[in-house]
Amino acid sequence: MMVGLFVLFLIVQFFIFFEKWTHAVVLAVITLALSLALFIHHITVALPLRL
Amino acid sequence: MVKLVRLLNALHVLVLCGVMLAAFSVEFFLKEEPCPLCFLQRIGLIGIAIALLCNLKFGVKPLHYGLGILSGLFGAGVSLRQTELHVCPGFPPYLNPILGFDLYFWAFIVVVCSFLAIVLDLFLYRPEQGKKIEMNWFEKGVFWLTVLVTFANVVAAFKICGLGPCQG
Repeated sequence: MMVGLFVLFLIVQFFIFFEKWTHAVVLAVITLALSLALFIHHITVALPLRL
Repeated sequence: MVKLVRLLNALHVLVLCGVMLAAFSVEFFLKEEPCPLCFLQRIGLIGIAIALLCNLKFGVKPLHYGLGILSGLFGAGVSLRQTELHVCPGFPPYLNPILGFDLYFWAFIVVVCSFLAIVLDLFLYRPEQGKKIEMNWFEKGVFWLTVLVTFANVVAAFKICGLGPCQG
């Protein structure tokens, strides 16, 4: 899951390189949203269960 | 003014890449592996760098600065969360402190300094900076350094966490 977030940012940089502005910005926002979801999951589920 | 702002953006990305490389040196030379919250803070920093790379590639736009601030807020929130977890007396720190502060608190300091840099850039913003300009050699170098740092994080995250959730 963490690997996926970094891969998504790599894809954003790929879109920047090929001058796809809309794709880059939209995917960057999606990646941040997924990061927030993972952070909330870590706080509410993973850490209390000591996973 | 356009050249100055683009140079400031490129230097900002270079500093963020330097911070990431310093984190890698702690990981490899001090043998202190990052935790899941550490990876999330790195995501926040890379997000700021990507927003500034958008300025360099597509022209300076307030939307890109907004994306950088959003990323920074996320990174700051995660680092404050990690600080909160270790702040109680008697609770051991996650890693050895560097220059008196833990690494997660240094991440918070870096994000706050990034916010100040973005504030300066916004003070200097003029609409003519939004014109798309071909990146020079320094800006291209900084772009590829960011790609390299992101790829290194993919490898590090895969090595520590695999493809599933990170433990710890």
